[in-house]
Amino acid sequence: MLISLGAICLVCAALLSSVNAMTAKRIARVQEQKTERAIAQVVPAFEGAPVDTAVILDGTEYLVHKAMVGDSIVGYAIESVTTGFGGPINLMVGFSGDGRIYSTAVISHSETPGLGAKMTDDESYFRTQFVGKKPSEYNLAVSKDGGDVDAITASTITSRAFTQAVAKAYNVYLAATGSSTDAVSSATPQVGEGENDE
Amino acid sequence: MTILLILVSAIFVNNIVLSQFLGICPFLGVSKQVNTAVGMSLAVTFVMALATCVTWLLQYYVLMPLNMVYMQTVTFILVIAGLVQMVEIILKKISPALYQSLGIFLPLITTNCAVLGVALMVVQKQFTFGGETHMLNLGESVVFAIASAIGFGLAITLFAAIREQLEVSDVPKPFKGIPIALITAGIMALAFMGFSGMV
Amino acid sequence: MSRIDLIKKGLIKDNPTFVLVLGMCPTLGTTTSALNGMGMGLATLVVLTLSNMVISALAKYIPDKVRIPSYIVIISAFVTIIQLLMQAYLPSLYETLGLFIPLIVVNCIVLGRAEAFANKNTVLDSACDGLGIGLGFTLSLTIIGLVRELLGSGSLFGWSFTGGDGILVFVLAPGAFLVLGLLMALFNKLTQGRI
Repeated sequence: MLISLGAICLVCAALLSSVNAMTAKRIARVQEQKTERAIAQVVPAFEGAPVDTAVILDGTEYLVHKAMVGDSIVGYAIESVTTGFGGPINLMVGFSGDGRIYSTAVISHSETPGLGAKMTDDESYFRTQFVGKKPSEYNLAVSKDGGDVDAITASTITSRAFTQAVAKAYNVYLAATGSSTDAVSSATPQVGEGENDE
Repeated sequence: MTILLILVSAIFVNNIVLSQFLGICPFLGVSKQVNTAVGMSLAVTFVMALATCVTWLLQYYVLMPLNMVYMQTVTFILVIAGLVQMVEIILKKISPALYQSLGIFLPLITTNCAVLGVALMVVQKQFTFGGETHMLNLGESVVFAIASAIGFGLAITLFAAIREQLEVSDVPKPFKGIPIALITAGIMALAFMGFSGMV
Repeated sequence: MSRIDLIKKGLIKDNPTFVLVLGMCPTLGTTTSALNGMGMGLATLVVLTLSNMVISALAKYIPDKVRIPSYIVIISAFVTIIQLLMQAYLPSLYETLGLFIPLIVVNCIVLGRAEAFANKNTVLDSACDGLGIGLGFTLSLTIIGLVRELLGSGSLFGWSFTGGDGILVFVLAPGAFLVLGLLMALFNKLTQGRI
């Protein structure tokens, strides 16, 4: 009785470990591609693979992906996470060399379809309003909180979380480029002061 | 504070039945009377807390060190089936009275997807209780399991109370039985949506 | 019963969703669009057919006492294989279906068919049975997904014709219960006295 159950378990375990061995590489590759695609989406065209450096800010480690053309850095892609309406929102935020937001990409989220999930639409006004803005001159907070960002209709919590994620990424960008005096608060965003041309 | 957040979130905001769609089979099947619904919820709470505790330890101390996370589904379901069986035997020996009232629900729990669902959820998903996104630790996982089970109990007990009334009302023929029960559940889910965004 | 009949009966007469009312969790949880419903249905179909075949082939070697645990091990092995393959080759579908893929293990349809059909029939008959019930499940999930997508986000199989606006509640949790309840009533009305 136990022998046959044991035999079934053994055969299944062997089968699974071989399927796992066959698919493990590809699954890892799929994950990498996802990050690579998100990086490519948020920084200007670059050559080769992005150079990754780790930045520690407020006790959390962030990966900064530097997009290079030759020896010069053309953009920074930073992944940041905040809490939205339905769970964590993972965002890739890209900055061009002069500290402007180049673009954003949503990596994963669990917002309500048809409401907060509208933030995944790359063409929407909510997403395009960030493009080209310099967080030091632009108040990264939704208009309800006195900022410059127009929230998605009926999705203030999602919009607020998205905006905070951008602000968080900006602070990481400043830390990575060594000009942390311009930091914007990611909790209650305020107008930053001064310039940061790196 | 975190514990309170987990409780409110799992019982009301992300109710396991009405917004996560787990455990629908017992929700529809064992909800004709309030007392059976209560018995089922108690049995589910017990098994869910125990199963989550064991599978959490299994995930972090056996599967992950051995690099065998792909065996997750197989081992978790076996652990749950084994636990249910064990609880049944122990209950029969120790407290025949409790076994009388809960015993009949135990075999049904193995295939209650809420139990496996919660066990998998706590080791796969990042949660945002208390600000930062993180994986739940053992204590939080067990609290989450108990809270989810209370949410299940709340939904199934309320639902059973409504269905007792439905039994005696005049329902159009094609809607008799499951269809009207589903529509009732839909309206309950609508009411529970009022809690969303609270945590 | 001929093999064609075995396949056909899953579609209407023994439809797992509308007649047997089994596997309700994925039916409600994954049908936010027609494609998601279809994906979930097809994943279940593959697991059901394979596990039916293996269980019918092994039935006479498995002692009665350890029958259920053995079936669970076999089913969960197939589920994990599908899960790994989907993760590797259909990552975006895998992400939308999420938790419901591993939960095929506890889908009562799969264990139910193993217990009610596969363990006392030939491999080929069991395969046909799995295929039929699986197709019925896929069909139901696609229809529910279609209705919810059409009403909820104003599109069909991802092709939008209202600019993405619809009656949101149908995509959200309550809509799942309401649409399934109404479709089931419609199914009862149409098949009344005929099955």
